[in-house]
This record gives sequence, C-alpha cells and structure tokens, in this order.
Amino acid sequence: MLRLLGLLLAAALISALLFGACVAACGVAVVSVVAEEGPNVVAPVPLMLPLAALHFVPDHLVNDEVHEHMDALEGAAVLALGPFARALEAAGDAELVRVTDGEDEVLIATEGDDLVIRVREGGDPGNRVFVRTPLRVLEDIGDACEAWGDSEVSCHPLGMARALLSAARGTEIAVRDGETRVDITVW
Amino acid sequence: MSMMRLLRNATLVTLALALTAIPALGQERPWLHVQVEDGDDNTKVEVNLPFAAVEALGDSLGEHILDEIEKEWDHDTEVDVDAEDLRALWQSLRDNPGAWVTIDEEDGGNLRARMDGDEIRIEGSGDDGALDVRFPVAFGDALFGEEGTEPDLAAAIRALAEHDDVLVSVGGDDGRVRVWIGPR
Repeated sequence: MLRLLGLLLAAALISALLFGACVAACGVAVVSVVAEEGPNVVAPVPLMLPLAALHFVPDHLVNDEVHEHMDALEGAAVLALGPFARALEAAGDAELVRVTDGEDEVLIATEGDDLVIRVREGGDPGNRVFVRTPLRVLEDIGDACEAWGDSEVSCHPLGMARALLSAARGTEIAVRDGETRVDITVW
Repeated sequence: MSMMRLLRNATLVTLALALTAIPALGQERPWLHVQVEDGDDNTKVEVNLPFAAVEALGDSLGEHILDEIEKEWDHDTEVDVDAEDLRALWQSLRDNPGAWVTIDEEDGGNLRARMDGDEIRIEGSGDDGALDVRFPVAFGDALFGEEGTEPDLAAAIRALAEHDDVLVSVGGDDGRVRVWIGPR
C-alpha cells in the first residue's frame, strides 16, 4: 500500500515538474487588471495553453481564412516584414512615426531590439496605450509564411503561433482607460 | 638611421590610412523623412525610416504596389493620363535637357518639368500653394524608361538612395508636405 502511494506521489511529482518545465519553456503571460470599481485581478496564463489548443484547429481552416482575406499586396507585405524588421534593427534606436493632433499623440519607435508604440488620447488622466515587443516578432511572422504560386502567400498557422509566442517574451502591453488599467507582460 | 626612416614611413602610412577611414566613419546610410502638417486642425505627422527598410519594402512590394496603382488609376475617371502619356512626357524631358516642359496649365495654375543634369525638377503653382519635386533621372528611367519594359519600383527606390535632397515639397495655407532623403 505504501509502495503504491509512493509510486503515485512520484508520478504526481514528475507530472508537476514536467508541467512546470513546459510552462517555463513556453512562457507565461501575466495579466493584471486594476479597475476603477471592482476587484483587482492578476492572472498568470501559461502560453502552452493556446499552443495546445491550436493543435486541435485543422490547418486548412486557418489557411483558407488566410487565402480568402489576404490579397497579393497584403501577402507580399507579410513576407516583407522580415527584411523590414531586420533593417530597422540594424539602424539602431529611432523615432519612426509621430502623429500629433492637439492632446492626442501616437509614437512608434525602436528601442534596442524592441518596437515600442505609445498612444495618448486626451489630457491627464485620459487614455494611454503602451506596447513593447521584440522586433523579432515581426521577423518570425514573416518567416512563418512563404510565397506560394505566382502571387499568393501560404502561412503556417501553428508555426506562426509558435514563433509569435516564443518571440513574444519581453512583450509588455499596458492600456489605461481613465482609472482602469490593464497590463500584460510575457515572461 | 634606417630604424628612424622605417618608423617615419610607418607613421605616414598609419596617418594616410586613418585619413581614408574618416569619411567612411562619417558616412551614415540615408534615411527617408516625411513631414505632413495640416494647417486647419494643427495635425502633424512625421515619419523617419532607414532607407534600407524602404528598400526592403520596395523589393517585396514594388510589383504589387504598381499593380494597385494601375487598378486605382483605371477606376479614377478624373485622371485622363495613361502610362503611354507618362512615357511620352519622360522621353520629351530626356530629349530636351535643360528645357522646361509644360505638363498642365489649367485653372490659373501651371505645372512644368525639366531635366537638370542628373536630376528632374517638377514645379507647380496654383491657388492651393506651390509644388517642388526633385528626383534623380535614374528613378524615372526605372519607371518610365524603355518602351516594352515593365516599370520597376524596387529599382526606382534604389536609385533614390544617393539623392541627398528634397524629394517632394508641397506647401500652402492649408498645410505642408515635405519628403526628403538625408541623414538620420
């Protein structure tokens, strides 16, 4: 009896360790919601969950969707992401786009190996959006797609999701709408 | 004595190498800059892109962008100019270096172009403001060059890399658009 209990405990421990290793390898997104009214929520989401879910989506469903909604120009734009991101990375830190309209402002910049987007709407407190993501995410999206035929592009959804999730480490998203704040950090 | 001579020669060679390297160190790859200011609502847009990134887009998207322009052009009934007209205008500029060629003279405004050395200048003025466009001849050759050859936007973009100057400047009371290639 003791031996059986020991075996069960060992199996549970090994499963927990394997699960932990999987979570660590795939990464974890920590979602934090601080609302003006209501409870504050902090939820860690292991990225292996969406990856595991994607295994159950037939490839042809997503591929058909891609083909039906992406014309030749958009397909070529996806393929251009890789070389475009590499050129940005090589150029070093820069302010790429700034749009100002009164108190509203959109700023897109490169900082180190990251692409940073800051959006400010209205004065204080107003609405704010901040996104920081490695430029490698763009490269990986492009690399998960390939030219197909004369002008079509074929994207491998699972490969794209895998690449996205693995490259997304270090991604930060912060959205503030008045007193409500949502933060997502991918570790 | 020979040791001193050797040292002196080595110093001179080192100095010469250093002087040759100085311009290369200061030579930064160009950037494309775009500035748009709307005079009415004070909106301002600034875009700065390393030219290598623009070239990357041109290489991948060039052909498709030209297809889209052609489609839009066919749908826009207000524009009564086709590819043949543009090619003819281009040939006229190439055949008459230094001479202004009138493009349009309607509604009190005027639009004219001239080949000036290895550069093309287009000037225009009207009620809305003034237009000044300058681009290298190689840019136009890639787009409107040889008859029977397909326009090559990627090659046209690459031709702009050496154009360290204003590309487009449009200005008036309503706003201003300026596109130029230069240092970061």
